[in-house]
Amino acid sequence: MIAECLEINGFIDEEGFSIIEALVSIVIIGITSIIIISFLIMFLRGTKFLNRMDALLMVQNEIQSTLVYKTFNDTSYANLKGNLILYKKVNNLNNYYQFDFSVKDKKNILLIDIPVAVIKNESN
Amino acid sequence: MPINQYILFVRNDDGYAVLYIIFISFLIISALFVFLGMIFFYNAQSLKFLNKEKLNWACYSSAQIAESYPEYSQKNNFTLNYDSVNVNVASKMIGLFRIVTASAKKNNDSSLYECYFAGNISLPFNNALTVTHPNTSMTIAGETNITGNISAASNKVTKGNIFGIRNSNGNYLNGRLIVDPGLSTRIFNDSLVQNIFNNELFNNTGNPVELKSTVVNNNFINNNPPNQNYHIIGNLVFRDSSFSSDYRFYYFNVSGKVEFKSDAYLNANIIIHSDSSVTIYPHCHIQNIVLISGSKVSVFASTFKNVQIIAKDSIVLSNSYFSYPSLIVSYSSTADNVNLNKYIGLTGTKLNGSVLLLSSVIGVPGNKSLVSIDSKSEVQGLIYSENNTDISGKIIGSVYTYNVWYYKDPSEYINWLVDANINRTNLDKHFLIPLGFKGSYDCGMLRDKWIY
Repeated sequence: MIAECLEINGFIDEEGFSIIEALVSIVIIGITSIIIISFLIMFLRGTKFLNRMDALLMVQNEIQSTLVYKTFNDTSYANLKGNLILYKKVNNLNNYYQFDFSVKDKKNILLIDIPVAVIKNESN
Repeated sequence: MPINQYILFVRNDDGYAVLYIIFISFLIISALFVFLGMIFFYNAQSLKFLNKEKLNWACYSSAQIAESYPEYSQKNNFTLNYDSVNVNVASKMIGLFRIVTASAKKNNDSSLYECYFAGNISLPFNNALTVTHPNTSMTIAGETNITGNISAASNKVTKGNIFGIRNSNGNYLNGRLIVDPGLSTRIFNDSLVQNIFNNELFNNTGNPVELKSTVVNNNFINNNPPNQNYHIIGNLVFRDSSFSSDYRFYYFNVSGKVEFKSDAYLNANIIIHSDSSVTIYPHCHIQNIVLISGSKVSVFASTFKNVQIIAKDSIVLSNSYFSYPSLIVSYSSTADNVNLNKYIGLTGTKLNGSVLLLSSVIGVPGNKSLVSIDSKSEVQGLIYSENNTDISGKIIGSVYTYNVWYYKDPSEYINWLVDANINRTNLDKHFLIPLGFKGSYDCGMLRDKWIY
């Protein structure tokens, strides 16, 4: 059906293809496939690309929780999947607290690092 | 066997085989390209979100750092570098709260954040009641009930009788009586209020646009931009049922009266300075405004949130509801008035915030200024009075006053606690008070908002 369609539109030669034409086509397809597949492997292996969104969500939740519940102490925990670990470090500076929220993957690769300063007051 | 059969894959008399392979390969490669593109797009989006998040928190942190150092809070505009982001910080007083605005821009992202700061409640407001009159001799009567400490200049507390009022049962105090002869009668820096009456809020608003008596409604908002000082020569009336604006401020400097007609609904950043009286008629809902009056303010049966009412004369609040953080301030100065008889009266009103009665002189016998909380009213927060306070209603918070005052026709009773109900322990520990109280520099965030 496809061939008929292509034939009608003049895309195929009734004589078929020469061996050179076929080889060149196969080489081009092969090279393109290798490039794309190697890119895909790189992306799929590197958790940084796929997990950054999850890491960002973890950090957002922890920052909100810290500000609302005033939990001004160091902590670290993993997400439900167990592939990301969030670290919260608190530096007690003169006039404010300096929080450092970071998320690392299993291979200890840093995905996100967001520092946040919070004014120090008695109610904290 | 013809050679064609050996290379059937390459050459077919029908010319089909390679074409199918190329076509299918093309489809597979296209699918791979699409998949790769999706991953690139996902990655680019997550990077964009991350950069925006870092920008937001850089703005938030800069505002916090700016407010945590007194030297920064004295400056109006400055730049802070936080997390490799240059953040422009602008700071100014809006009434007795401070607003800090932080903005930053990086690549194609930008962020604008604003927050209000106020003071933390601390000593001496940890007491339920503080009476600063140097020779206090308090008398307790009626169903007085104090939960928290009382601080006074002396320990002279007796039970008294007033005809028609029950005697105190003696267990009126669930706390301690702290004797402190060195209590300061004034702990508020009244120059802040003087600055407000000197139109400090209207600085840097450009040349005023002069208008005659004006009715403000959505039509006015559509035709007049914010961040502009409108000088109204005449009266200013808010009449329409609905009026809202974005984060920018409207400044109205009014030479005549200001009136909020019934059913007016305002949720807008507005600063109004009137040389004359302000009247708010029933069933209004007003949010986020600062009302400054050179005369008196009257409020009838309306609801408020985050409003500051600052007047030189009396403020009467009837059957109204003020949500946190609301602020009522009356300031009397001997420079303006010979008669010191200012009045802040709450009748049937609930207020979550602070009430301040300020006076340029304290302890003058002729000073009749009074904060009056009637028996149907309730204040959750702080009452600070530099003269008399009548506590007949329920107070959840702290009262700091020069004298406690009670009136039963035809007599007035100075430093009599009659039917007073003050509970300091139930006040939210995160309650914030206006800036301007002397003592430690300690403040907290009142509210905040990311504009974009």
